[in-house]
Amino acid sequence: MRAFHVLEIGASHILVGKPCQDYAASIETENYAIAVVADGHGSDCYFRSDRGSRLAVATALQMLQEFLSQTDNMRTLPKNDWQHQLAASIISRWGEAIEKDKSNEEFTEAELSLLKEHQMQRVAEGKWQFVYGTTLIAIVRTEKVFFGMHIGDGKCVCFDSKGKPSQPIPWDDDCFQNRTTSLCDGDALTRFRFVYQTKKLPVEMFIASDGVDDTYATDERLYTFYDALRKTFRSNPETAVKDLQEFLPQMSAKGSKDDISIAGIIM
Amino acid sequence: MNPLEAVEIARRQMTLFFLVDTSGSMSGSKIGAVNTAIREVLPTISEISEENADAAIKIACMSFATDVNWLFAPTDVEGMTWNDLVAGGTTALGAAMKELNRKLSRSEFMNSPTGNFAPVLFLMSDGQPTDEFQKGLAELQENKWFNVAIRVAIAIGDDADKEVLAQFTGNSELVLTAHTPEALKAMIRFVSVTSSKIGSRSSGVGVGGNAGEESKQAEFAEQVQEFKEENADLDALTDGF
Repeated sequence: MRAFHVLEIGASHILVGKPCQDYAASIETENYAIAVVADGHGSDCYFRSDRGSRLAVATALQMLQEFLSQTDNMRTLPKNDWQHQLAASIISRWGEAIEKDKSNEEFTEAELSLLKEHQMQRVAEGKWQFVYGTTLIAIVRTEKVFFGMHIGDGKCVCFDSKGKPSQPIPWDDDCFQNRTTSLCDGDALTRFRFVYQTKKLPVEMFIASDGVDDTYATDERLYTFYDALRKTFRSNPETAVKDLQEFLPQMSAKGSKDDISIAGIIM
Repeated sequence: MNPLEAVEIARRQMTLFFLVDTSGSMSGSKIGAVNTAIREVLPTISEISEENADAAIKIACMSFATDVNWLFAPTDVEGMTWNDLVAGGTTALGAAMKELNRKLSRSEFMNSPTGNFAPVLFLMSDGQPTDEFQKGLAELQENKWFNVAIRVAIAIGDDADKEVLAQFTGNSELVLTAHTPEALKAMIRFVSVTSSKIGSRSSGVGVGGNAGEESKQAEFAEQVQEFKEENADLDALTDGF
């Protein structure tokens, strides 16, 4: 079991001097592997979304590790309940993390100048969380279970042992064009989508921000890319992550121009 | 060679839909001005498409009179030739709304939600609908692509139903009125060029959905307002059709 992650600032961000607002992380142990990506929203008003995505990834990784260390047999857990509880904990802990970030470093005048009047009003009312807005995808694989949770855009693409691709996490039709659901939404918990599998488990699992989806435009092309990636991991396991990382600047420049984060688990 | 480079990277696309009333009252100088203006603006849109790294621009054209017809589905603007529209018949705008709704779907023209930018829907009409416009519009208003699109209309002459056109655009400021062939051509050029530029530009990166994001439609509305102010003389003309 192997986990990996890569991250690249978008070509458009470089042009305008914006930071990379994606973040990704992964971890592998003897018993499980975890992969997480988050995509901070890009417009000016989300001026701390780079921190929001980083804190979302760190929070999810920590919560999932805590959960896995306390759970001997996930197959005995009631399916919906624990996944919702995990998502609720991540939302809550992320809320605390951004609160701490804000109290450590209050918004500057330069940051606040990026807001429109109605957004300033929201900040004045204490509803400032949107400036850290981000999506989140997290997946976990153990020997006997695959599960994941997702809010916002980006996609999770898995391959079974025969090389057949699928997207096991349901799509959310509210993620359309430049709109996405977000960890900062007041109803974030109801926006989370989940996957939980104990049979016919995937052997290659990839998650990525929409910088990848937009580059390949159609599911057919997206599957072709991931198929090439999984074959790279099979044929050149030592250099696969390096090959992928080296390709990302080109992918962003020729494709979406957006930040790109990809993480995955290879069995 | 890095094996990942072998996978084709797609260029996204934005479609400018011309929705043109070709009823009998459009015959003569009105349809003539529409044909001339669109034919003349295509090379400029082609240049915008070529120079724009974010998305390729495609053109689609629907004409509606007694019946609704697609002159062409979304087509690359590069090298496109315009075949003149011919006027005749009634004004089945309601049927046009229904047909547009049908085509603005994943199984038809918008077959890739991530591959398509929100379209530009550019309606031109000189009269009153002769069918069930409200019913057709109500269906269209449920369409997600319609709701994110840049929507604009030109009322051609004094007999055009501006209220109907404003219902289509969702904003009366996005209805321009042309009283002469010259004004109509200038407006078609302005709308086509400006909406193509705004519509085909990437609207940012991973834009979040809950902070009251300004839309491309709002940005376009500002440009229309500026155009109206700078060309107030066009509006002051009496009807020359």
